[in-house]
Amino acid sequence: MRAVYAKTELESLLDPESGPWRAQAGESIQLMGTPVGLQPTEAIRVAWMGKTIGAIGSVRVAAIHNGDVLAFRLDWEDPDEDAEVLDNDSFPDAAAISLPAAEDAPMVLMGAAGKPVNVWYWRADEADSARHLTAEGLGTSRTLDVKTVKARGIWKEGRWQVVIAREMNVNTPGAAQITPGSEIGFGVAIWEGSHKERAGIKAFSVDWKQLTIDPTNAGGKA
Amino acid sequence: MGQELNTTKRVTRRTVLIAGAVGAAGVAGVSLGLRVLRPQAPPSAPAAAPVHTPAPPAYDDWRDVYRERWRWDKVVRSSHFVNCWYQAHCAWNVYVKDGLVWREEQVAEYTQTNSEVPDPNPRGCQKGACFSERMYDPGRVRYPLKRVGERGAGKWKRMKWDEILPEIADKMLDTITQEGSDRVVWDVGPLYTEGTMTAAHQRHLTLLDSTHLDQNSEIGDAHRGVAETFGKICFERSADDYMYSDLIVIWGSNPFYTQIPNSHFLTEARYKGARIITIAPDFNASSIHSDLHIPVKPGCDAALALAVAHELVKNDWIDRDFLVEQTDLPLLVREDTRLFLRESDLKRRGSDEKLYLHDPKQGIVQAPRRSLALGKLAPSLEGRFETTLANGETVAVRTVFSLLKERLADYTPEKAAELCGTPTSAIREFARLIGNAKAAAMVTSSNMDKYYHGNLMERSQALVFALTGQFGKKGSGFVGFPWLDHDSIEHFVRSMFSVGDMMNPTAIKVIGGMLKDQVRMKLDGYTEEMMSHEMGRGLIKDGRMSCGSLFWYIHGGLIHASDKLEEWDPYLKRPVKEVLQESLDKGWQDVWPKPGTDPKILFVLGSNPLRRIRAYPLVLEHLWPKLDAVVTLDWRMTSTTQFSDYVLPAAGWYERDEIKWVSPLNPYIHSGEKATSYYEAKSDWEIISRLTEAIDIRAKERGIKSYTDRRGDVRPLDNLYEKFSGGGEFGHTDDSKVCEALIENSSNLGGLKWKDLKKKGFSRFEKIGKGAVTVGIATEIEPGQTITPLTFHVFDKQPYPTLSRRMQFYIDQELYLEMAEELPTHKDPPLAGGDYPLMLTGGHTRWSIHSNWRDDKLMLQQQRGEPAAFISVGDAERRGIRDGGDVRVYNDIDEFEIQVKVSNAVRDGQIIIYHAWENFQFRKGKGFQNLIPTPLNPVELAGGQFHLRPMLIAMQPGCTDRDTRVEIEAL
Amino acid sequence: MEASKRQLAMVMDLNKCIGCQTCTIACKRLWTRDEGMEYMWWNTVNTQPGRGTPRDWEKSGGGFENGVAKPGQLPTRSEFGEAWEYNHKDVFYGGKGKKAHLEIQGEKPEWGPNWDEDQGGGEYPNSYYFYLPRICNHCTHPACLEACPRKAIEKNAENGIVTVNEDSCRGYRFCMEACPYKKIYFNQAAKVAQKCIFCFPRIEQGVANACARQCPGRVRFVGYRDDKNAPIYKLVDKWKVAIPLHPEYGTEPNVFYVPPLAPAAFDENGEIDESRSRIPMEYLESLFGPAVNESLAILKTEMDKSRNGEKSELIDLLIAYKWKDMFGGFDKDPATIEWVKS
Repeated sequence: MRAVYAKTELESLLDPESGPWRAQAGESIQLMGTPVGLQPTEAIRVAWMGKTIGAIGSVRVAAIHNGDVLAFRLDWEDPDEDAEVLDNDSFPDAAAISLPAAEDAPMVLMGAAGKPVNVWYWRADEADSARHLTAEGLGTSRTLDVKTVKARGIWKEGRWQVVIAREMNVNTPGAAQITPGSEIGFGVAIWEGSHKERAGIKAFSVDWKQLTIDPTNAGGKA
Repeated sequence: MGQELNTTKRVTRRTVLIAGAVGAAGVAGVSLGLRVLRPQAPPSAPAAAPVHTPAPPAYDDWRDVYRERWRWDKVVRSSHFVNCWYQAHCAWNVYVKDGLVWREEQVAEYTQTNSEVPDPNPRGCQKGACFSERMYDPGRVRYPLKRVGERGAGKWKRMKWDEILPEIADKMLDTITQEGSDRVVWDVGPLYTEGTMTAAHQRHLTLLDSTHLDQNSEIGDAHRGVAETFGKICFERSADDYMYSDLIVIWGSNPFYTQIPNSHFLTEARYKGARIITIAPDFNASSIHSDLHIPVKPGCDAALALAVAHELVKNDWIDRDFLVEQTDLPLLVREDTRLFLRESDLKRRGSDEKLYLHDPKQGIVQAPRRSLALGKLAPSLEGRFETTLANGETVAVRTVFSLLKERLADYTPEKAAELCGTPTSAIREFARLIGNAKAAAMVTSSNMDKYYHGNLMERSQALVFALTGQFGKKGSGFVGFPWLDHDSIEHFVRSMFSVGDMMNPTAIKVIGGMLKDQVRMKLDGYTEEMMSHEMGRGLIKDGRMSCGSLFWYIHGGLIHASDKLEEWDPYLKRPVKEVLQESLDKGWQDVWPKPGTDPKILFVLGSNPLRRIRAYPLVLEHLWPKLDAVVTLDWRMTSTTQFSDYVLPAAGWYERDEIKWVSPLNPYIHSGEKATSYYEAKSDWEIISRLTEAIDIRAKERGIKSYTDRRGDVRPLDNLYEKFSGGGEFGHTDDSKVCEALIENSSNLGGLKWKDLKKKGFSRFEKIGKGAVTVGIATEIEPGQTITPLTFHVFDKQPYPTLSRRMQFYIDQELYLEMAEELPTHKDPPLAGGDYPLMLTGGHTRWSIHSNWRDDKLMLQQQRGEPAAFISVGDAERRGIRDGGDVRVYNDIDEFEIQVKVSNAVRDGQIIIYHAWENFQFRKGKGFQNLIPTPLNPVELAGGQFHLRPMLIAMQPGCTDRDTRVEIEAL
Repeated sequence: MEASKRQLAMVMDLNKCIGCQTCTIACKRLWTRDEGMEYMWWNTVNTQPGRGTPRDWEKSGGGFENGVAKPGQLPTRSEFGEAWEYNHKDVFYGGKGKKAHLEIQGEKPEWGPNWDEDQGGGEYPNSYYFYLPRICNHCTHPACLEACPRKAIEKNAENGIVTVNEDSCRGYRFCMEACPYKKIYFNQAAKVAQKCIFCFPRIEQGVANACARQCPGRVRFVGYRDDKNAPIYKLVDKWKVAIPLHPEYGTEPNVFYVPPLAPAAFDENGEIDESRSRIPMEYLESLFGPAVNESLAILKTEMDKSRNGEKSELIDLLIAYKWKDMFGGFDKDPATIEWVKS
């Protein structure tokens, strides 16, 4: 998959319905639920034993960068918008892009000790904000900051369209650094709020997907 | 504003991260839910400025947020100056942060009275623990308000203090000079402190000859049956005295609702070995901690008590020595007239007050009056004797005990069970337990007095304790009403006048008069207690205390609700209006202003009469149109402020220096120091002081130099404020000096200094004092000793302040004879409100002190969030009503709507709505008070006889509510 | 999980609890005033039998069964009871007269934290009930802690207090499902789970918990479980009258209860029947397990001794002649603390 270079303002990039995105059909990625056996606590395993984990089966992903910022647009079918935590038993829809921040960082386990994964995390109830996380294994995610990652989501006619973006090079330890012209691995995860998905209860792309970051001089308009 | 005060945000590390990164707008928009700590602005300029602005605390981790919560700038001692009555009072530390009261926690520094009893700590209750929330809630009054719409319409104009007080002053001057000073009437209520508020009020009304309503019988706290028996109502123990009891009888009370801080002494006495009996229609919060719960039909406790008395006599579980010495049971009654045998029967010009007994050796002799000590007398408890009267006629006389035994024959447990619904097993067990108890204590509250036949119930209860001699010993005793107070208000009033004022008619009225009477009384063997009572009766005569209930019955139209009483009360012999007329004509009872002259100005001081008065719509209909002004002083909006013309914002309890009366149950005077201020609220002292000054100024401006008082004496107005302030000694904001004067001139605080009290918050009384009410306790308060009342009578043989100078069970006043109530008896409750199947009763709630917390958000959240009525499972099922459903409650008077709680603990035939919901908490503003006709019981109009004459807070006719009949249906 | 070195514990004497909720309010005024915390009552007192708070919590699962985590439900806000808001201003100043009355804004509630107060069980005149105060049990085997995928729940190594680390918590609420006592709340504003902190800032200063120190019924004893000279050890381990609530939940609570006595019952003929308990023993066993029988027997024996004038250490402890003795050394007066201005 390619992250197309487009000379676009950040504002436009963050709008999933803007011109640059309309031109990108993206690629459908199959998702699977995190196996119950991998859930970190017995209580979660017992509670989810025999239940579906990962209610969202696939997501269409596109990527654009403008030289500074790399943006992903995730587009998936979801008949229920869960954008607010209305009650104790209500959970928000969420999505994340994960990038290896070290070589051999394992995708399925959200990294491992000394092999962090860098996560760009959007949650429907946190509106226009998103979290920049690092994780070294399931249940270890830690917020690096809440300013670096920008995201915006629109739910319409039974679909979420969410843009998650970040400057390609940031000064934050634990953050993956991205260079135009390179090839990187990325992963996607989707949490379906109405299915009470949160934490390790999610759907994710099974392994790192390859993404080629177009060089800034490569092809002009996509 | 309350929101801001109560929802402070806090700093977290994440907040810092975000604030530094995206700025405040980002935080607001994203709502990451991170808590920001920032000092809050005080509610307005007049409120105290922050002491300092704390720097945001260091944030290491989430724990610091909680640590920061628990920090404060200063701690001030205070209390809640509301009438908690039986549970009054508790010392609190008020925690102040940024100039605002942040929270409160009990002082908890009381000490054990002695090593045999637990200490009283920490005292307090849930209501006190949230006053810091309540004082900033939307019910507070911030500014002086003047009504601009119709009365009750809720339309107000904000006024300045220097506009509103002269306006009120002018209205008062118009009334005082054109209609009469007695037309200015003060209703005082549960916020009356006997401290600075009372000091201001008593000086003011003394100088202006206003009418002050004694509301104790109207509210139903006058314990008529206690007064009939003991000649007084105020005597109660200290709660730690229960530790000496082996039997505790909770009867007519639910102390675990209404005596929260005292209650541990009951549970602890039970642990120590006391058996607890509760007697109530419902299985209530107190019953759960008892050993025996005795169910009874509401209003039928007299039948139960008389059955117990029957068993006591039958089994000879009675204390004959006690009865012949302390009670009227050996006194002789004429068979022909049912009247006591009197000296006037036996001698020409003999006294009507000297009564007789029979001694086997000496024959019929006069009963001792100056002392209970019998000397060589051994009075016959039983017997029928003959004597020859002065007119030569020979009559038979019998002892009261003989008459009583005859009466008790009607109350076998089996017969009583039919009347009161109590299992005979429980009646017999109760009799066995109290008949064999070493020290049996009664726990009660002002419940029976709220029944139409409450006096009969109380007389019957007292009889049970008298028969068994359960008085005076540690841990024993039937009790009346609890009240313990410093005794210097009267001094504070008198001290307005100097020697040079002796020609001042007001001064003469206040100071003179009594001296001559005192000599006469001493010669006649009056005890100090009796003389204090007479001084109180003097205040009633002067109008400084005037019967509250008759004010509402006559001027407020409440009497109209008794029109159907002949249908409701089968024992009634003639219309109660006729008896009322007779009572007023004969001077048995009195009312101000006199019938036919209208009240003109009503001051409501820390009171809520439109919530309180049963059948209050009649008062709105009959009294309100006569009033030129209704002025309410309160810290919050109430059912009464809603119908007032002027609302004056009073300081809350943490916003002033104050002291507060208490009860012997926790015999410590309590004080408070001003911790903060609130908008334009002022202390009651300051409001009344400024009002007095405003009257003085307006009188001068209008050229009014004097007025004529209710007795026709001309009184000066030109030095009004001069007198009020004691020549400037007590200025508008000298609350602290007033406290000092009150504390340091009291006879019963052991030389306590105000500065020490203010610092500590509480101090134990050292004597009962000379107050006309508290003298009734009749015992010494000894250090290291619990308080057991009435030892002056039981051990020191001082006579009781009754006609017979004894505990008196026989009353031969003509109304009692007419109503066949000369002895304790059971009468079925009247069908007040019509012949409906359910009795609408109540009781004080655990959730509020009067109405002061009734609309508090936190308290409501621990209930149903709105008024609710308890009904039984059976009554609900029969009517298709579900728990949480709404019902219509109705009778001949009116109807209202309410949510129901269906409870396993409630007896069939009863609907319980606890005290003091505000009218505005009900749909259409109509609640249970609308249905309560409060029929006037003719017996209560009696007077004339020594102890049946009206006295302070007792022996005046009352209002009742517990007999109200209703039906309900699901909505 | 490693055991803490020591364990703070609480004993609540149900024979002294009068249901006044001073504990509840003391806690509310100190800890749960922030935005998002309005509906929280870390301390609750409910009438038993009853559905409790949150509604039907005893049927909501969680805890452990045979040592294995048992699935539990997430109590909703309406099951806990919302923080109702009112129209005070409209009533007092709105110019509507009797047309406006004070009422809850929004939906009429069907539950609250003390909704079934004083309704109880049994058939009149043998009605029965008692009050059951509850806080977080600060369990030795905390189901909440073990359920959290983020290890955001901590058991203090020194004193055993169980707390939610609000820096780590992401509001996933597995703890709320796992806690069988349903004593964890979710803060919608802060998006974290919150619960009783055993007043650790007070404990750090040597001051007993607000719910305990402010309790006018003198119901609550506080202290270290292993302090043999203090009441907790004596009541729990020596006299064995204080027992945990629902021991079968498997979390080993550190709050213990002196079970309730009750007045005599009447039989079918209206005779006083001393042979049976007014509160059915099966019901008490369902709450406290079989240990309740022994506990009540010990209590009655010692009360009889005291009634006959004999000395009983147990009775003296429960009476608590000196209030401060209830707090196992955590008896400092908070008002004496002088904070250094930051």
